[in-house]
Amino acid sequence: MNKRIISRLDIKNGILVKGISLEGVRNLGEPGFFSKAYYKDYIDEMHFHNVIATLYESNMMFDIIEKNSKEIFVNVSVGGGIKNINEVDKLLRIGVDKVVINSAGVKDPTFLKKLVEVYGASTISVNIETAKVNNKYEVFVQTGRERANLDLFKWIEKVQKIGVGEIIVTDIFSEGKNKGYNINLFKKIRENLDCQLVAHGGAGPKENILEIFQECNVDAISIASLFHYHYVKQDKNKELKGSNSYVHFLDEKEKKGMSILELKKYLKSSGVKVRL
Amino acid sequence: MKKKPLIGIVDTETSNIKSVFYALSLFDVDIVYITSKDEAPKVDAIIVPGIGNFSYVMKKLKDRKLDEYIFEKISNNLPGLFICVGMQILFTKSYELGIHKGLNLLEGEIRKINILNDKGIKVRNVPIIGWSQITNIKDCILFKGKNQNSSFYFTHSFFVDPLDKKIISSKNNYLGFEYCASISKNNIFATQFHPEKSGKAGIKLYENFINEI
Repeated sequence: MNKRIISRLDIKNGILVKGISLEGVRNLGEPGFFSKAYYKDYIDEMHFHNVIATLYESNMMFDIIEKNSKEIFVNVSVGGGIKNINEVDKLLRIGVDKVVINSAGVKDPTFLKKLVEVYGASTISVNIETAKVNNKYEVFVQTGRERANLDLFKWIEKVQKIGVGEIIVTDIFSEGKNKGYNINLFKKIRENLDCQLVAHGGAGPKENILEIFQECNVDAISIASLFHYHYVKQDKNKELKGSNSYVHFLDEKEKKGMSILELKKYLKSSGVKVRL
Repeated sequence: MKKKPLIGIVDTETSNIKSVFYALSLFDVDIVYITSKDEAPKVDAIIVPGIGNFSYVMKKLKDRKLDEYIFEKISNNLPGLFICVGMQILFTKSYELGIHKGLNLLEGEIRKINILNDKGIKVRNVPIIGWSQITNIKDCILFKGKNQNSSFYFTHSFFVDPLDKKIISSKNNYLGFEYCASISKNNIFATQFHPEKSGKAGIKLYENFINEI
């Protein structure tokens, strides 16, 4: 069994975007350009995240997913603003394989239970956004905008008890900074977690990525900007479709990207089982 | 020249039906969704996709007599491809959230993957989600042209334990826990993994199945 490398694609107005600590998004380009390149380079899964979930946004998301699923044959997860079972049904009917729930699950845990009963544990993933407040990890919702007044570890315990198959933890502080995953946090989470654990937020130095697999025994890692910054160069002069916005280019020194193949080869040579 | 086959995808109302549709669309076939026994057109092969809780899928099939439909089509030698929970419902019973009867086209049970090793120590996380190289243990037309190193995408908590071990065509090993990854018996082809989510290697399985129709 291989460890999974997941690419996370944050979508806003039909455009791939990326922020820092879940804020201040920059436009990077057409999602299809990136997803095709990632598929070609052996990405294991893709996670599309709807940054602002209104009905209008959702329809644009549906178009992206449908286009994507015609050509890309790896697991596609979608999250961001999913509130009811009809939306889950619709997503699965247009080419999505796994749904990711955050705010709606915090608001109503019975919704998560219902989803597990209908679709099975492995189709339902819960994304938990967390940050330290007064030296304690708390849960956040609405893409990091709102405190949920929930203790992180208590919520993880509850989600696990409901029978959800996978928990993606987003460390808000580290997110988008490429400085490395929070090893201590994920080590602590893993101690009492038997379902699939995905680390998200901060992917950067490859030594740290190796460490999160070796020290925290996570099942998967989710990566956004580290991959985006590598592949965005090739798309620099391409016109963006469906948007009048422009690509806010990063300073050359800011761009510290890595290709999927480079990361996988490094992990494999260091003893982590990955698909190549 | 062979006639273009019409493939029916059985709509369980829980599955990733469109992913299977897109995988089939890469080939020269016609595709139809089968939504009830009474309204089902005549097809050349059926596919039951994965995703879903065992008892919920069985209930959804029964509501529209699709359990009878699958049973009859398979008994009448129509080629069938069954994926994930689609494979599990072919068997006698499952222990997923209670004890539930399957179609019993094949004898065997569906049980939860053991998270403990022989010494009672927790060694595995469940569900299994991810890519794994399988071990082929008998010739099966589905794996024609398969590269030895090919990986396939698994996502499940329960596994199939067939009574007749001879139907097992490949196995997966999850941290020392070995179980059935695919089966074949006459017109029945089934995989625990998702070929439509397994890149090029998985698409090849669909091609092989279509060539069998």
